[in-house]
Amino acid sequence: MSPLLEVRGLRVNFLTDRGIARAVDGVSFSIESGRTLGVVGESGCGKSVTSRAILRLVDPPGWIESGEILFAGRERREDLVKLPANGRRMRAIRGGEIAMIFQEPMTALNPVFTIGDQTVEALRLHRSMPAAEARERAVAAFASVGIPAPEQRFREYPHQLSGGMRQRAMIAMAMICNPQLLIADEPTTALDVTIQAQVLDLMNEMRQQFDGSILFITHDLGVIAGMADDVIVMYRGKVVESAPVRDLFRQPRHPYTRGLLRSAPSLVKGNREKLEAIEGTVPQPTEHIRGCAFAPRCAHVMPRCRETVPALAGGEQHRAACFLHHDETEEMYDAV
Amino acid sequence: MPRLILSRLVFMVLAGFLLLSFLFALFHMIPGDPARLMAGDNAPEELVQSIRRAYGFDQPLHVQYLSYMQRVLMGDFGVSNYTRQPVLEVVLPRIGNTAALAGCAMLFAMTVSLILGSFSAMFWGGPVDKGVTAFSLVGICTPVFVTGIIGIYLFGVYLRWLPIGGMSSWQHFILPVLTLGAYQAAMFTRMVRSCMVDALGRDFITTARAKGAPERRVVFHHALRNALLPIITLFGLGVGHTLGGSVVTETIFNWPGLGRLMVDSILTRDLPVMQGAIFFFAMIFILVNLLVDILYTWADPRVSYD
Repeated sequence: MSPLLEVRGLRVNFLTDRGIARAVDGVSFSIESGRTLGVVGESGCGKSVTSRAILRLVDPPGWIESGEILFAGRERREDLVKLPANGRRMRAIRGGEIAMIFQEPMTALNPVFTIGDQTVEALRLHRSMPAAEARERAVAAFASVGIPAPEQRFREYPHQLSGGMRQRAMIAMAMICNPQLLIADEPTTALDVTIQAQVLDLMNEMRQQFDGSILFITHDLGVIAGMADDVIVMYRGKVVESAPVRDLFRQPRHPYTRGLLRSAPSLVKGNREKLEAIEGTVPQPTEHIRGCAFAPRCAHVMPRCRETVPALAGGEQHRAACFLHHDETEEMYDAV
Repeated sequence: MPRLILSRLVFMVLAGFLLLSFLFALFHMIPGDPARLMAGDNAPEELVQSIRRAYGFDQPLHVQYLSYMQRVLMGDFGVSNYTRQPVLEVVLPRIGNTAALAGCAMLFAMTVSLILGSFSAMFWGGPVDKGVTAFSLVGICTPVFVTGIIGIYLFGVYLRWLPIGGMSSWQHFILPVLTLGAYQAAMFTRMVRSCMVDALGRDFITTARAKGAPERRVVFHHALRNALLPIITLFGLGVGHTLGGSVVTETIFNWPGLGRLMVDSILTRDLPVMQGAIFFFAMIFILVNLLVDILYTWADPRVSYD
């Protein structure tokens, strides 16, 4: 069976004052039906841009340079990159078959409309139904995401809700058309820790009931451990490691992944070792780096790392883009 | 909301009181003898004296002030020095004429600017945007009297399509409304555009697009409704400018409105009429601002005055 979503060699560029920034630089991954793929990486590594590219929501000065986004929609499998970005088909996919929830529920909700109206809008853009029925469905959706007094909340504006409630409303809005793929872009980052846990519990619950797939973007490895089935680690627009979640935590291969794991605090008793930070900073996206982009910060750097780019390889399930594990190089890409 | 309205009405009374006091002081400071002015340059001294006594101009200033305020409270703004009509009878019908002209001009300017500004923001940086920006720059740089005179020459004199003065039919409205409205439309368009560009850059716009909303819904429903907040303020201020602009427009097109009345009364030094006209101009402006504040609560659910 072909995967629900398959991204191949996706490149997204942005035109900046300092030249062209390769925000997403040849990313490939796939999500099987019913599974959750976690995407981890520091801010600016291209994870959000990737998710927006899937929905064709990359706005100028950015554009999709090349690649394929193959989505097995309800009717047929199609390449989303080939569809007109604002055409009828793409709009039917957005919200209808692929839905998205965002990091900041305060700014992602329109402040001048009630959350009820905004949820009903999401439904009626894709299903023609009488207003009263849509309203009922929205209230039911609010109840299913654990919003207390949903009838009353329906009439409230985003500013009248707490952060956690807003994110719940956001989730209800995204799930109301029963999409096949849910993209969650750092859905808990802006929330308080206790609320984070609640929202994660809710998302986990939805994951059990929901037969679709989830693309879960976060910079928090702890969240990934609890949410994802498979993980890809991104660094500077590239996938540097891809593995089932257990393998990634047990045997991280890429030095960047290992660094990320070491820099996360552990709550295991007696574990009082000092947290390690990865040396150096992420290079500017406009900066052209020969060889592996992580080489300048890598403790295991070899001369060849500065010459050629390692391919993402090394196995069927667990792959890393690092010469410590294999010798395959990536084809040079110099279209820009 | 009732509290807001009540407090604004109290403010209006206070502002009106201060304004009248200021006008009273001003008219007593400017050189010239009001009694002599009313009687005419060649009138005998006895007549001037009797006018002075009749109008109380010989009384001490504070007595004059108190009696003036008392009369105003009773709704008596005095009589015109020239037509001898009570000021209220002169001013009130003029208010309606100015309101019709300024109202139509505002309506025109708001409609044009909302449409052009939104499209401009929608196609930000493209040829549509550049065209609209050029149009609005030209509009802002052209004073009302220039647009008015060009309009009169082109449509009134050369093409003979439209009447050039008075207000006896709907055709008479076209040139003055366009003259007064074009400048405001140009001004508003620039502001609407920048408010819309700002609104379109917000996160909830991405949410709306991610829901699958078509672009026109994103722009005219989600963005415009948010951009309305600063736009309402702007339109409120625009009413002030339009009323100010109406003074020139009414003079050019011989429009029997409050603006022209004010200019005429200044030219003839008809102090009571001048006072009345300025007073009502100010009151209209305060009322419009009250309306703007009420509109806020409708436009932004986060705004509440109670």
